[in-house]
Amino acid sequence: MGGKMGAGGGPMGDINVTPLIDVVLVLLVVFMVITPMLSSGLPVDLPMATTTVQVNDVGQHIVISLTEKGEWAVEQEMVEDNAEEALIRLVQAEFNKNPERSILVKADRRLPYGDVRILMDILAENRFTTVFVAAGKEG
Amino acid sequence: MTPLIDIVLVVLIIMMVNIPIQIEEMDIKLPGEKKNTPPPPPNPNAQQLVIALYENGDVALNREGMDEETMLYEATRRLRGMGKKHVFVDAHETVEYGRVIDMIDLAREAGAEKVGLARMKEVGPAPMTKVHPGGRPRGIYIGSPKVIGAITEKKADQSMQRLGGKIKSCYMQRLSSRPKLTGHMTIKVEVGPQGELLSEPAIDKDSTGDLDLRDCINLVLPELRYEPLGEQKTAAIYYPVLFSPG
Repeated sequence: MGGKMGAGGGPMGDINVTPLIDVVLVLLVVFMVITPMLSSGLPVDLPMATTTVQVNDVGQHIVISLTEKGEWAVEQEMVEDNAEEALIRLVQAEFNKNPERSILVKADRRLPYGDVRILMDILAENRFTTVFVAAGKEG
Repeated sequence: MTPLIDIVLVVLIIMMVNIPIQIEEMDIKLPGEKKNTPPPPPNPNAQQLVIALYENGDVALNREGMDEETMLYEATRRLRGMGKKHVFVDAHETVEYGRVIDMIDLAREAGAEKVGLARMKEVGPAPMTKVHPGGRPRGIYIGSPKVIGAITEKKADQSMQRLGGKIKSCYMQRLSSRPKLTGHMTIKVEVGPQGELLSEPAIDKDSTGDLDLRDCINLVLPELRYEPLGEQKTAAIYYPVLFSPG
């Protein structure tokens, strides 16, 4: 990146690359920090499984998260007071954008099964009877 | 300075390319809307497998209490003879969600095509009616293969059954030095148009953790033979193999 400056009798010198390096390094750090945080839905402690199928997330799923505290979220949006109507409205809105999308339930592994089923039953009653569940890869 | 910038830029690009996130997932079926019409009378010939998960952590297969190792064996064995390989998981509402996923995982490992969640009952799953005496026959058990592509399950199965004896002797040999050796493997095979092996058959999953057993089986696997599939047709087959010291 260095080079001679000027053709005449002007001063010779290298291009100052320090600002460039600064910018690139900052970008690098930004990516390093956000990459682990980038996941669909909210971060939860996933259950482990061996027979999972690995897919690239290209937005083919409507991601519904259930956190350890029992909060629900559709994609990034929290469902206030776990209201059934609000959940269905959000899911339906996502579904209307692209009817090919399926539902992925991301639930925390420490939750009681009943809490997860309440949500799944609401989905089933609204004709979403096939859902995907997210899991961590074991082994 | 230039090499530094090069490296940093390359790292940056790698990170940007990596950003598409990977998810690990499994699909399950939920019971649909409650219908007002009464359910059809149960068909005595219809077989189905129900894994129950009780409040106290016990598990049962078709109301028969057993441990998980036995359940994997029993589920694999029963699914083999079934036309529709469907398994239902019926869990009490207080059990941990992670445990339910473990059972779904077990059902899929045993060869289930579809895993459904049973309708919730307030009292939990139906109680056990008997307890399995435990113990499995000594030796190996090859479960029903999962096939993707242009081969029937039956033909895929026949090919592996022919190697059953050799795989068993691998296991028996190891059993003499490790009498408690147990676990299961998944063997992946890719077959081409002429029935040839497209890639070296490989052990995809292995819970035995015994390298000598793996090596021995890896030597046997290239002997797998298949009938020609036809022009431009290929198939991938996954065989579950269970090992039991009896």
